[in-house]
Amino acid sequence: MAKVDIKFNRQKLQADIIKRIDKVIDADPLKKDIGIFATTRLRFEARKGTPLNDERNFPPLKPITIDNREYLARFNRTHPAFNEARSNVTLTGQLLNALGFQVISRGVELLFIGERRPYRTGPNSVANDTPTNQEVADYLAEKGFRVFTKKGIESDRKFSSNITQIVRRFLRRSLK
Amino acid sequence: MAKIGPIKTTKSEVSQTINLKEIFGVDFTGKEALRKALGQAFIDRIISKAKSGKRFDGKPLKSPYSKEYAESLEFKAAGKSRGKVNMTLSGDMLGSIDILDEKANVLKIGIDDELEAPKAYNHQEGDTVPARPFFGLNNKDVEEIRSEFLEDVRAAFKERGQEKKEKINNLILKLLGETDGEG
Repeated sequence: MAKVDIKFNRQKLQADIIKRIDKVIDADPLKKDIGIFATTRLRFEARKGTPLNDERNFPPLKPITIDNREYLARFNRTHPAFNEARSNVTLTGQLLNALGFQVISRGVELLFIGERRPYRTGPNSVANDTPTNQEVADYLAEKGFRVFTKKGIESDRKFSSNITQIVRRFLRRSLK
Repeated sequence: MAKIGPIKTTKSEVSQTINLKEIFGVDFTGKEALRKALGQAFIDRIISKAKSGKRFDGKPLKSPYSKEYAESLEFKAAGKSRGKVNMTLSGDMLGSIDILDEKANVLKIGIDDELEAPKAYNHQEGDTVPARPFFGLNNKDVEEIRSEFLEDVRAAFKERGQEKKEKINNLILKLLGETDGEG
């Protein structure tokens, strides 16, 4: 279904059918439904540690990373899916919460939105650097922690069939 | 003949039939667009009820989720909360509710996906999880959807003034047909 254009952790979900739907009826609500589904699914899979990337997993964490995460967890409110040794790009949850989308002409573009809340690094200290969520996602992707890839998304049968169902439902609702 | 049939529950299919002719009092032969729109409206009703924590009969679904389930990684990864029962983890089960069969006046809606049907069966019957019969329509659902669509049904049976709508519907039906080979 998807013709995809990939840049680290930015992804366009496009389909020729959406272009054709656009010629008949306003497809923006459809694209929004697809965006909501895609971000929810990708977030869920990443937090489980089964991201929709080529490998369907994240690299294992190094001992020093685990120690760091355990340390940061003392001063920051952690997401329920956090575990210091679990490789799921989740500590406070703000990165995956920032996974969003924008509607484009033939579909949606997935991207990480907004600024980050810096980590507390001690009882009275806060991290100096404040990269954006997209910058963090790109950095992690370079290190092998890709939340999603073109191949990962396109090879997931359930992802594809869900998108098809969303399109079908939208088309049926447009009939009367 | 009944407006809605009994809810069929097996490990390979969870479904219910809907008799549009009994509901609206007209023959839907040749009215594919309207039939599909109504089918989707009934599906949307089931999903909406489930997501708002209601059984097929409108009563509340068994709440809260078990402590054991709430401790699972899937539960946490989905951002769920114990007190908000909505039959949704990945979204696949509710997302698989579809029009399974379509005749002139009768639709069958339900789940027959090989992965999702056993899941739905389990929730309906309480096989290995607490029973949460989310799937199905009741008479109130039927009456409400009937009221919502009555004007559209009347308009579709008028002889004149429907050409433009029919043209758009035909295009949409063609696109729908093309999704059948996808996913």
